Amino acid sequence: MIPDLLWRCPICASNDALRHSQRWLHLEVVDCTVCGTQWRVRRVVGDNYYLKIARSGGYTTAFLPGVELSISAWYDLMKQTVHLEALPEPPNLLEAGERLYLSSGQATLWAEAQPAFSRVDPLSPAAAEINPLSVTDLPGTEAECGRVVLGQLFLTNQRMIWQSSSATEEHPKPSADPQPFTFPLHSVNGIYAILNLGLSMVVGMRLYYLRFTNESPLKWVTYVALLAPQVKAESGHHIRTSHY
Amino acid sequence: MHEPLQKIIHKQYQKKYQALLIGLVKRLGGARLRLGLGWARIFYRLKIEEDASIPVKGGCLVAFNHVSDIADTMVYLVIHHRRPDVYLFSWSLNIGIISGLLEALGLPESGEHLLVADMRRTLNVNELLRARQVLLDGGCVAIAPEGETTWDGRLQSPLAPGAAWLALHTAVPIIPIISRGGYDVQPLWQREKIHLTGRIRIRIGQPLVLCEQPLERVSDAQLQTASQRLWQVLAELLTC
Repeated sequence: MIPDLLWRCPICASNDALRHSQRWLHLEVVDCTVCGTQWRVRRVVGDNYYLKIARSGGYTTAFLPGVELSISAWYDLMKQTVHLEALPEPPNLLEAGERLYLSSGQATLWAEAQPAFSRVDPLSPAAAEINPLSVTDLPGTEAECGRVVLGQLFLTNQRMIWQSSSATEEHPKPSADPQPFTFPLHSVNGIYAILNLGLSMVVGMRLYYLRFTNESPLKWVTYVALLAPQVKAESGHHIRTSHY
Repeated sequence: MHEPLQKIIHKQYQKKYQALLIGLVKRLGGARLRLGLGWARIFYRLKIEEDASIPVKGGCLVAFNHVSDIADTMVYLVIHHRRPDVYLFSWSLNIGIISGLLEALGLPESGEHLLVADMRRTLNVNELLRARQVLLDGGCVAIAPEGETTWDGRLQSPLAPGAAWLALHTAVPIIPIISRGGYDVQPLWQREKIHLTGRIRIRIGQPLVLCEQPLERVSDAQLQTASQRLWQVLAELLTC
């Protein structure tokens, strides 16, 4: 649905505010639940989708009813509104000086039981040619996986924090005081959107997969990509991300 | 019982979609689709424009833009029509879907010609070396150098380095192919709902030769320059 792409209202800049309605014999519309703007969706065959403002929420005079732009143009406008802004801190989660940028709703995390390959340093194809045989005889890439956890993901300026909230396969009863575990950003090698399904994280050589209940994986990719230059400057570590 | 992560994701989220996509391909003509892409020409008003042909023999790397599953399937069929020996790069997560599609298209044997890419990029070295050998032996490899399907319909930048790496190490020509009109048929944000009509245009561009002789060593700067050149060629094809 369109909120997978436009995960933030391009007009009032509220995250996760848009709702896309497609009903039989009704106009296809997108509504912002915060500023009240409504767009009509029009598909132009062989070209793109166009969103026309049908109702202005009165948030700004720059976008009045009748303004129509392609979905790519709305996406560009949306991206211009995205900045790293600290959110109010959840209790007992952050360390001193740590800033919280994103907090997810309910999500499911799958984690590989064993990393596929213990080597942490990423090798570019150019680097691999120096001694390709050293990395061609790898153990199986399909590492075993089975740990499934429900919980919430947080992104700060230093790490990603996973706080489990419910049962796991291994521990069917929810823990009374679930311990959060963290992925320091300097050990996160990549964050990728898996189509529109979820988010994949490569931490060291271990793969994690997250499925959000009601959030776009593109939002997380975008925020991590915005943080990546900061991580590079502080630790020299490069985080790869999907295109956004 | 532990299972590979890819299998878990595929089972939980992709199975329904796989059935939908394969069902559609079958309704569009199944195996007959590759004999002239008949139904696609009617439903999607498919047009194929060739500035140059895909060579029927000799090493060549085909680079295409990654728009939607339905448009990419048509591009694959166009390539396969000229080069039945084509090897295709695919994410490990999509292997199940692609194998099912190939079966629906009457090409189950092509399932053995899949090169599997992993998000842990170090693990891709094996498949890159395999693809390089295919090209040096005179085979054909198809790759979507953007790496991922576009979210907003535009060509993504920068390209992943794999295509340029292969071309520089083998000195084979890159055949650029772009498809237009696949985005509104099946945008990524609505991947599970495929429109049954559209206007898809596939264009095959002039071969791009990045070097005359295979290079022994390739620097990151060379990779970046070559990728940028390939991106420009694809972008120009999209605009004309």
